Amino acid sequence: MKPGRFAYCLAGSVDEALALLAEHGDEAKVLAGGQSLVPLLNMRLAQPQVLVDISKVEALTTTSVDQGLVRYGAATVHRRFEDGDVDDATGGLLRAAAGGIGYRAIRNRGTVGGSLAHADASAEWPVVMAASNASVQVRSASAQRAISARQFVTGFFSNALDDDELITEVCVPQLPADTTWGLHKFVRKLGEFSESLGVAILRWDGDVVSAADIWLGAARDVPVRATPLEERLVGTAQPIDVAEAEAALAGVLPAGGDAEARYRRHLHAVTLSRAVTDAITRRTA
Amino acid sequence: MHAADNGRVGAPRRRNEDRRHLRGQGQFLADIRLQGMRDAVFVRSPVAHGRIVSVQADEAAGRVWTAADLDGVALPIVADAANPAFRSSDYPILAQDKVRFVGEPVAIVLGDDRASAEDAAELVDIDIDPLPVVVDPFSALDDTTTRVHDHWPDNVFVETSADFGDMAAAAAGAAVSVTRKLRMGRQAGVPLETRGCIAYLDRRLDQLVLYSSTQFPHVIRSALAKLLRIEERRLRVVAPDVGGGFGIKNNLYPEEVAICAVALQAGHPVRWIEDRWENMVGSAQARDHAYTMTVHAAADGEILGVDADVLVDSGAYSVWPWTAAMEAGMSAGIIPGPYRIRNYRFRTRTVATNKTPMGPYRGVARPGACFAIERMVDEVAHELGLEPKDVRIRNMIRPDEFPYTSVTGKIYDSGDYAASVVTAAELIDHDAVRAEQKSAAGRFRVGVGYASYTEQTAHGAREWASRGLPVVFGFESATAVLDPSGGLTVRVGIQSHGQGLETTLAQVACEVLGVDPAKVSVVHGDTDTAPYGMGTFASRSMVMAGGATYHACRLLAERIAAVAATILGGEATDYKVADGKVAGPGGILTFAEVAEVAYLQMQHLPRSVEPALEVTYRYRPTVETGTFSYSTHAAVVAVDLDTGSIRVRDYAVAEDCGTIVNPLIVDGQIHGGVAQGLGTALLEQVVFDEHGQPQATTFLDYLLPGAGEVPFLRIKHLETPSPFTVLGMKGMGEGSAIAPPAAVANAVTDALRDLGVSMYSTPMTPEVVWSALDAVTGPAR
Amino acid sequence: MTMAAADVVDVSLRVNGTTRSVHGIPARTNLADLLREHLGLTGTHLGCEHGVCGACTVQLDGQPVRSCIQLAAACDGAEVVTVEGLEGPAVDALRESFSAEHGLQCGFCTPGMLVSCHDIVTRCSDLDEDTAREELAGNLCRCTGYAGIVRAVMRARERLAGTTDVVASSGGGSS
Repeated sequence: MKPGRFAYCLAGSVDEALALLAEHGDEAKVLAGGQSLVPLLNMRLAQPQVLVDISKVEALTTTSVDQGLVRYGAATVHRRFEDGDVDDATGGLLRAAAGGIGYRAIRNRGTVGGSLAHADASAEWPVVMAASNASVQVRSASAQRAISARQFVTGFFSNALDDDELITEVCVPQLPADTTWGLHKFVRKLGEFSESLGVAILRWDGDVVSAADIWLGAARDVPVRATPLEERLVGTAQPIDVAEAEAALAGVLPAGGDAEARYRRHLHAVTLSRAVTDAITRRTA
Repeated sequence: MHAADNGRVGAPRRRNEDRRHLRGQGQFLADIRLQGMRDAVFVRSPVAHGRIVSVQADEAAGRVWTAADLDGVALPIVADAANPAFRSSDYPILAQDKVRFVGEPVAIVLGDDRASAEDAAELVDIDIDPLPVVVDPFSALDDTTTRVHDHWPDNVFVETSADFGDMAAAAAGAAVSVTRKLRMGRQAGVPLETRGCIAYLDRRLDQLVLYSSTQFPHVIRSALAKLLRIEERRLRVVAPDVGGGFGIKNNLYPEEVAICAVALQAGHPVRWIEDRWENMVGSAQARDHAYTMTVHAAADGEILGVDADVLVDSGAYSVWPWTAAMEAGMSAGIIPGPYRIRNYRFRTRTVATNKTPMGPYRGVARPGACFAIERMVDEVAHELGLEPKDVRIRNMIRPDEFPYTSVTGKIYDSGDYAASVVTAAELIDHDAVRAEQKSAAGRFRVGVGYASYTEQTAHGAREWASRGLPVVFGFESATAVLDPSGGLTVRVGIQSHGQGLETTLAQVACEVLGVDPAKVSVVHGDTDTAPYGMGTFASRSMVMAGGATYHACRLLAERIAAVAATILGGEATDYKVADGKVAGPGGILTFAEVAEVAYLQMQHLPRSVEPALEVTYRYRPTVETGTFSYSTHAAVVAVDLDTGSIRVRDYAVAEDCGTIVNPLIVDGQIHGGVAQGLGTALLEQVVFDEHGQPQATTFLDYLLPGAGEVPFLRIKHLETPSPFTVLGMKGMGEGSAIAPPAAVANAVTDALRDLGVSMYSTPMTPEVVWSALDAVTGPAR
Repeated sequence: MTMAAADVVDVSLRVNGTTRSVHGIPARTNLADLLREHLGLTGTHLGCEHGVCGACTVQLDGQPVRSCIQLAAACDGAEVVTVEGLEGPAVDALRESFSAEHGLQCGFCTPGMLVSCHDIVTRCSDLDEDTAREELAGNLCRCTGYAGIVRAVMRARERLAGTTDVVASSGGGSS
């Protein structure tokens, strides 16, 4: 299981990387940690002509805090979130999410930007960044823009980037003081990709929820916002039981399908219910 | 205390093998480098069934081997069972006119490395006219239009049946008759090291050499001699370090024959390393049984009769040497299990489908048989309102009944089956689970389940001959030799791929000769240096190779004594070997002193005493119907009612494999087997879609148990020595993979039965469990 | 560093304490194949080539990584330690405990397992059974059922932490 032929280039700076992307267009792929890309290369499911290695670009591995935002370099590896080597804008959610990604050896190389670019809706970063309302800073040789994490995954393993664009930073708003988070990942064995992933961020006003961001991964080709659950929570501190969650999700997830689809809808309701309970428990703990 | 005292049989001896493996100094197939070696890639069928129209390649691919290139070079594999009703078919080395499963080898290209060979393979175009596919085994039974093998009238490899006792009387006398359909899903064996082979011509020795990650190098050599029509003396097969086999590496595969043929024609060494995708689609698959079981029982739980219908999906081809008949035959033979069942009727059918061929995998058919009978024992117990473990005890053969000839002719030799149930129940604290269940609340349910089995191990010629295979695995060889310096080497035909035979056989040698096992070389795997061996499978190695080693060392001891008597004076029979020395009326000599004379100063030996010190022994068990290990497993599970997840909270094994040579290794085999059994029960599943396309071909979607999925086991050994093996050992390498699916299914059923849910299939995925709950209780729960 | 993308690369890195340079290898070469095919270090094994099984785990700049999905080209200037080069009290404790607890059978997963366990025992101050199992999730073993491995890593950790004396093992033999 060996890759097809490609050319390799180590970018020394963001500008170098962008120039290469401009030159090679859709024949090039960005290589950060390679934990998502190289398995695809090995299986010949992806056969780019050129790999642009950005893993050693210092500007892409630094973290800074700026006006209520924590700006994470796109090539920051998951381990640094897990070990608390970088500030956690969310008061623990990023750290918890990172620690659940695959295995330690994967977390030593996989990056937050690479994970977002890979656009797997069952992976932690796309869902958590959407829930956190992060913005993805993107540059090309000629321009730069910010894309909301909530619009970043556009379809099945598809992202909003143009071929010549590179993620440079992921900017996560620091969660206000009266905020709790909850995370629940359902797997059949430790370390596998989630079969259902629930993230809940609750803003509190006294004893009740004043605003909620509840997002679901591994349900559709993009992370899904569970708006009906958010609406249900505002003004209360009541956990959402599974039946309620299932009913609330009815409008959000496609209906029908076979027994497997039915089970999956139910499972997502369980995950979200547990994520919400997790977030509520953190308030009272 | 002499160092050898803790090297004898029974000592929890650290392994000799560890030294090299802990330093990465093992030599597995892919670690071997030969000058001029090139890598081969098999171009494999992308469809499950079709006629090959053409195989064409861009010139840049280099030479492409197809079936035409093997004409006159290699014969197809033919694995026919002796049963005259068994339908014969050819298993081609490279597909000729048809392809019959996704992944079937069609062509071969070479490259300077694997990546280049894969580049070349992309340039090979196989044009196939697709045919309808036969995927579902039940459909395969009915479909006579679409046939996997055109010259058959249908898709049935073989059908067997038997009727023992009086089922009608059993049914008439029964208080309950319970009928259930059960299904064990198809899975892969997944050794961590994939298959692989290297072939080259050794011109100095005029030999074709095949290095192969195989479990039975000698038998492979004998098979290759026939298929390649090369004299066997001009063939050498070497199994280096093998990274797990579990039966998956215990077949003659077309790739092994093909690589030999290519090496003969290419004129340089040729290597093929199976990648993980190939392993998931091209290595033999396993389990895949469907049962319809009826059990008739009396009110007190006595089983009056068992009626079994067995369907085995054997895939596209019959594998060599086991044949497609073996799985169903073994299942039907052991369904009665450790119980006193005299009214037994079965019908088995083995079908061909457009899937990867099925081969033996740890436990071989018995996990399916155990699943069937052990689930039925619980179902009957539930109907009667009895504790399942008590129904087991009620029906088990008692110690005073041994030797006991089962209704299918298996001769169970020794043990105490009921004691294993009692012990397992104690280990798992059965009463505590029952108490916990009484206060069941919340969204979890707890259950306890048992599964018992008796396992035929180390069976010999008579049993193998009765199975009608092309090879009868009746003996094992060992050569025990003292070199001129007095060091002990044991060369064995058995092949070790994780069982620790380099250590346990050294322990057997130590038992006889008193040499520290760390100072015994156990040589295996190379047909040029190892005496003929039949392979490591069927839980036979410790008994067979241990028996051969034991006797070879005993005979060697006699030779040592004879030489010592020559040197020191007196009768050879007055000299005894112990602790690496020989002592008698004339004094004591070390092995080194004796060997020096036997080899280098043999002028002192009379004609009646042979020079050198080397003995070969061929062990043929006195009883050839096997020695039966047995065990009861107990599982405690916690089921999450919301997700359907099953957590194995506690697991106990009460087992008896007779005399234990090395407790560390025996416990290790138990843990490893249970882990694989839990994989069968909960995680592992090979799925083919309606087009015969395999769906789970990487570790991303084929889930294997990891450290988080296998708990520590509570293990207790009941050591009833076998009455007729050397030192009383029994085989046990496979057994612990047999019971877990049944034990877990019984535990989950125990947990959920009151909610109206029982388990009848594997794997018991969260979806399966939850859907069953949902079907009963509905959305308003 | 050149701006032009190249089909073949030169890689210079430190492996097990020695600088090794390889010239003109295909850019697509992964670190495992660099070690195994070009540098003769076959202790690192390939079990899946998609980053799941862990058999290929090596230390890269002090951290365990999957060498099967790590490009050799991306390792220029790096420090790699394979099973052949593991040294020190942590691996000594691991080798001893793996043998004592029968944490290996066929040996194929063992090199990757040792590299991962080396990281675990040096990084984790508290290693109860649950934590050990979680940390070991990234290394598959098909033979042992993990019991010996879990015991081995916990025992090695205890020994390193000095909380237990080294107990004379039952059974002699080489370790």
